Amino acid sequence: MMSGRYGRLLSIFWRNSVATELEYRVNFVANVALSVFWLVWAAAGVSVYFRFADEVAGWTYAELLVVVGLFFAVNGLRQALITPNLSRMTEYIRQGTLDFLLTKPIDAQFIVSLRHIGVYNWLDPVLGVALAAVGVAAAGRGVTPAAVGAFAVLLVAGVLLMYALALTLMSSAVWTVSSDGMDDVLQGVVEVARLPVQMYRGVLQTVLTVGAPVAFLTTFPAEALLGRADGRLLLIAPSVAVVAVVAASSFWRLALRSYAGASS
Amino acid sequence: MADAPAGLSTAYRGMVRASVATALAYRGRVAIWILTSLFPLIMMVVWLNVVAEQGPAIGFGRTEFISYYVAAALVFQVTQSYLTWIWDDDLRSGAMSFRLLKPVGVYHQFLAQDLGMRLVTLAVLLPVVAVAALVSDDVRYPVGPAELVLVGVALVLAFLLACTMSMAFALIGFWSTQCANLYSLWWGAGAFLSGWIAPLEVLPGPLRTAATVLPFRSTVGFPIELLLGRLDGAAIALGFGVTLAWLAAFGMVYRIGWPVAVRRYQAVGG
Repeated sequence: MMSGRYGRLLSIFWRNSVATELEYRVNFVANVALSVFWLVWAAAGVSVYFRFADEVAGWTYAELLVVVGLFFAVNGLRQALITPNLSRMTEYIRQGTLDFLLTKPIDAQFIVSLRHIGVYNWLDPVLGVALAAVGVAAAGRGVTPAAVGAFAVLLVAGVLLMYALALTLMSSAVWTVSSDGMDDVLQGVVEVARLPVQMYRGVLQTVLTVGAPVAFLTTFPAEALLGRADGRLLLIAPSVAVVAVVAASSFWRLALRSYAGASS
Repeated sequence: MADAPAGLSTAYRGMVRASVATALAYRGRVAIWILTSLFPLIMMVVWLNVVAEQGPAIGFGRTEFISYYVAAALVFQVTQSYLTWIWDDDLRSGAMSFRLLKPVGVYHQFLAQDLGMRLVTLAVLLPVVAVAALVSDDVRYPVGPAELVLVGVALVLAFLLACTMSMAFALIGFWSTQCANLYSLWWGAGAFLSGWIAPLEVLPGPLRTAATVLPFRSTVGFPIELLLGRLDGAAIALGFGVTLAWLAAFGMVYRIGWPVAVRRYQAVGG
């Protein structure tokens, strides 16, 4: 019942966002062309290493393309789902829009974190997954349904972790009264996921695996698709993701409790 | 661009000071901006793996790669120009109208605004890199004072070239809404030829040759190669020659294009 209502709201919100952006039709088409360009750019950029080596930190060029593709997909999701909402937090808090949003008969976290969607990068997740598929094919390894299933589970967990991180940033904006630059922090985290964590050596690799969700974003799903993921991850990743979302959600409510409003 | 020199230098001092003040007011922004130079460090990380596993690649070992990309992160802050995007925004929002009313040319307004931001960023980053070069064996710039002066000159020219190039591109905005996107394509293709993705020395021969005569290398690779002491006299002269030639070319495009473009301007919101 409840979830049906939220689903309907989401479809209204997003259709509204899409309609607004589609007013600039030329831009829309141009952005599709740009998406393809940047995908090729990212894939070509990492090819230079393989003039000197067949394998870097245990990854061949084809296997690395899987990670680069997933980076592109996750980064596209960030730009489509998170950036438009995160960047509005400053305005929400400074202009008192948040007061107004809090009075609505729906959950505040839902409306603040999911109200808007950016359509310019809508193709990025599709293109990114396509590049990952090309990488898997070029790596010459077959794909089992089990591998695809594991991949799907791990990718969803990664995206949820990214959402939890974004929600934490949004909540802290209630205290700092500005979300300026927060999207850049998130972009920094995703940017590091351009490479598999094995490329980072020593302590850094541990930090990126355990401390920050970088390994969960691209490395783990890519390994699953290549059929070499650690089976225990299928249990760990979803658990970590759920705990992170719940924790971020509590943090959001804590922030709201200290929120005094802009109009008083 | 036709103002009297004395008046212009006074105006510059004021505009740069205002821009520095703005940058200082948004310290968090500047910190984040510095964070966005992550990309070269990420590219570096892969090279360190290659070098550790396979040995040096064409004269670049661990130290050379680290020194190169640290310098790239620094040079990026001087030469990565967002002016095409700002200009495009100003055209759409109508802010360009206010700029046109000011007694200083639009070119100079943008240049001064940009310069202030660069000075603040450099004031933070230069000491960091200098200390790193002093204490770390892996960050090494084998150059003397004379070469450092050359690097400084190359950086100033790189800054001017990057700004002039992006403003020459921005003129397209008077005709098309796609000017920022076109500039993205231009910059993206140029990233392979500028030394941004990797040192030009490790790229295939044809790309290297093309890079020597195109404008991109002047804005990233050339100052870094100077700093790493990898160029002989002839190569240095060629690098400066190419830089100056492109600076003159884009300056000319702007000079000729601006009066034609501004006549097409229809203020938004008027």
